[in-house]
Amino acid sequence: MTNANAIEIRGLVKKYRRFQLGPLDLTVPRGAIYGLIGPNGAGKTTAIDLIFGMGRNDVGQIRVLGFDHRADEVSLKRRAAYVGPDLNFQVWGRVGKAIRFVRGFYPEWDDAYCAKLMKTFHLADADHVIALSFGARTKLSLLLALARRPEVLILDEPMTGLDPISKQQVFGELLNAIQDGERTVLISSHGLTDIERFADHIGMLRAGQLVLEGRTDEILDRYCFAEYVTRNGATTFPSAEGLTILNEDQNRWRALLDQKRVGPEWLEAHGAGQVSLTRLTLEELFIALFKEREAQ
Amino acid sequence: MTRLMLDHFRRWSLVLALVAALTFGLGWEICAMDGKFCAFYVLLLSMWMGATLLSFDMKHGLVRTILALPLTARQIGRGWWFATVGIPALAMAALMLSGAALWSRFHPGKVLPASVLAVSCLFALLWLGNGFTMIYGMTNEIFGSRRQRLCLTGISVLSMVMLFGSMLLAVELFEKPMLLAVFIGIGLIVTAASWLRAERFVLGRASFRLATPARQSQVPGAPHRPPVGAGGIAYLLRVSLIRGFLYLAAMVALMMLVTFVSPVVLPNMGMMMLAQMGSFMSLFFMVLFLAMPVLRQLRLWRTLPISATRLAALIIALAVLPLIAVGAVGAVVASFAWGQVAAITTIKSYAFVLAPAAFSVFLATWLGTGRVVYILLFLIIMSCGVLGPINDERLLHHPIPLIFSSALVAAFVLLCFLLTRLVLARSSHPYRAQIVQTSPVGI
Repeated sequence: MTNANAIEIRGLVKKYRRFQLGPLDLTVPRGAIYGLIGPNGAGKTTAIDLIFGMGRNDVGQIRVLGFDHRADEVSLKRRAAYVGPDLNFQVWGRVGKAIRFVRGFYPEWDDAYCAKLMKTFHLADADHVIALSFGARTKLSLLLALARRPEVLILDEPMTGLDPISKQQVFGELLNAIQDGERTVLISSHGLTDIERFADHIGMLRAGQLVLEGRTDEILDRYCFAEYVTRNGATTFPSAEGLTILNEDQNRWRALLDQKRVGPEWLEAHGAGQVSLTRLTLEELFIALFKEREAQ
Repeated sequence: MTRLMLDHFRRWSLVLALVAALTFGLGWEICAMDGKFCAFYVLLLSMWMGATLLSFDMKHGLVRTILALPLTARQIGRGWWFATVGIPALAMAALMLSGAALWSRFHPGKVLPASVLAVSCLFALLWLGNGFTMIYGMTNEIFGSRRQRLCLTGISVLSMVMLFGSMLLAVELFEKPMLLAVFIGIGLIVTAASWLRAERFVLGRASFRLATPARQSQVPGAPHRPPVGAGGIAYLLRVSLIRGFLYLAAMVALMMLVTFVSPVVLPNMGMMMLAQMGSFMSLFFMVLFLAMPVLRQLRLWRTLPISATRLAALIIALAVLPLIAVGAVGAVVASFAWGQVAAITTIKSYAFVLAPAAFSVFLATWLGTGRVVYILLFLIIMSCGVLGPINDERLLHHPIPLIFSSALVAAFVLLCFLLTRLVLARSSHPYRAQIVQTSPVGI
């Protein structure tokens, strides 16, 4: 099956007693590194779990490489790999046994690549799983996912517990894995600096809803910080859709500007002077957006 | 320390209340049965109310949380020792004596088996202490120096002898002073070790995972070669089934061996040990020590290319197939040793435990391995402990056709499979509920 998008989620709803995911529409283009971000409890892991059948959605559809996540469950999982902090390999005792077990499911398993990853991640087949550090267990999860050469790689908090060098190694391997343009990575993480650096698309979830989705560069170009003063010492300023006042000090203002809706010209037309615009990092945008919504 | 103990009792109050009621009943039964078989039940109850409970909490990360509180490691270790050994032992003794006192009130002319009661109270303490050593004995010393490893191995061996030896010799225990003295001696050593090493056991448990970095991988030139051989489900089944079968078969064989070398011979003792006690202990061991740890892989398994149906079948198979294999081997042994009737009784006994094994696995898959499941498993296994002998007695005197009982069990196992499949396919809870901290022992 061929499809322009690697992952398509349409109208997905999953209701819990105190939380509802969705309705969620999410599109991950083929060949992209897609960063799924959001505060704790936003529904990132729930969405990822549903892709792999860990729970059943109430409404909606999930397609990965054109495969329906329920009807074509096995075909989907043959092509998609999952890495998460909660995978447990301890019953296997040793790293080699865990690798041997997982390898049996994938005819495309690449032994040479597996050996290379073992070396890169400093994992030996005789290592005791119980004795691995948290980061080393994450690396084992990554190894098991990468060595099968998946077309779609879904990573839930893969950088937790990794030191900066390991992070660099992991991202290096991820970039290697997708360089043919056919493989896709969906990564859910709170490491926004890493996401900004490596993800070409991002989606922001909040309280089960996708509040922002698009190309990383376009989103970062669209939003900016605006600092300005109000003329004649006025202590009020008109509100508008796309303008979020972050703080005010007498007649000095700092705001988040959605340039798609409100430009600097609009500010000047409504009494702002000495307007200066600053480009945001993803982390600053995340905090500003979610602070605004918290306030609401 | 007091807060720690109170916290433990508060969280496990339901289980403790249940065990307290049963212990009170046991005091009555000891008098009614004149002490026969009571040691086995004292052991079971002390296993359920002792360190096993704390082990569940540790699995959920309790140690690290508690270690961050302003308490010394010694206070934590000793506090938990009191909560899981000292106070339960006192409570068990008080409850057994109360049960016996009540029996005595309703049977004024009869003599109380005071010595059996006293020894039962003492053994409650020794088995609780033994449980503490067995569960927390797995410390970082398994990676330590030769002396540390030797010491740990010695204590572990004594614990095993105490557990299996005294349980299997339960009948003779109160009739043979020498045997009694030996087990009291071993029990005292192990209990003393549990008190003296409580701090190290608890700390060892807390840091078990992190204390030993992947040493092999740090060595320059360590072998980074992928393993050879076929993997997948076939590999999992082979490893799990062989391991499960070997553990269970070794346990049953040990029980049989003790029966054969035992100087006291009761009618049908060997057969009963193989069929009744063997199947019950196999169920107990399979559910708590083999099936539960395997379920922690559920998230990993669900991401592999296998359907919910195959996954459910796999989970149920991992629990029931070793029991079937041990039952089959047991039936062959029984057939040679005692004839066809004994073989059929053995098959029926092992078939009987397949249903609770499958049901326990379904419950643990669905609800996780938390307190609720622990209480339910406790009830299931204890019910089997009570119903099993009744079932076997009935089988001996009023045989149910094998085909009928097998069909009944097969239908129940099938039902458990369907229920497991349903929760695996529909619920997200099994995949969240199984996320637990790593622990070096099964439960």
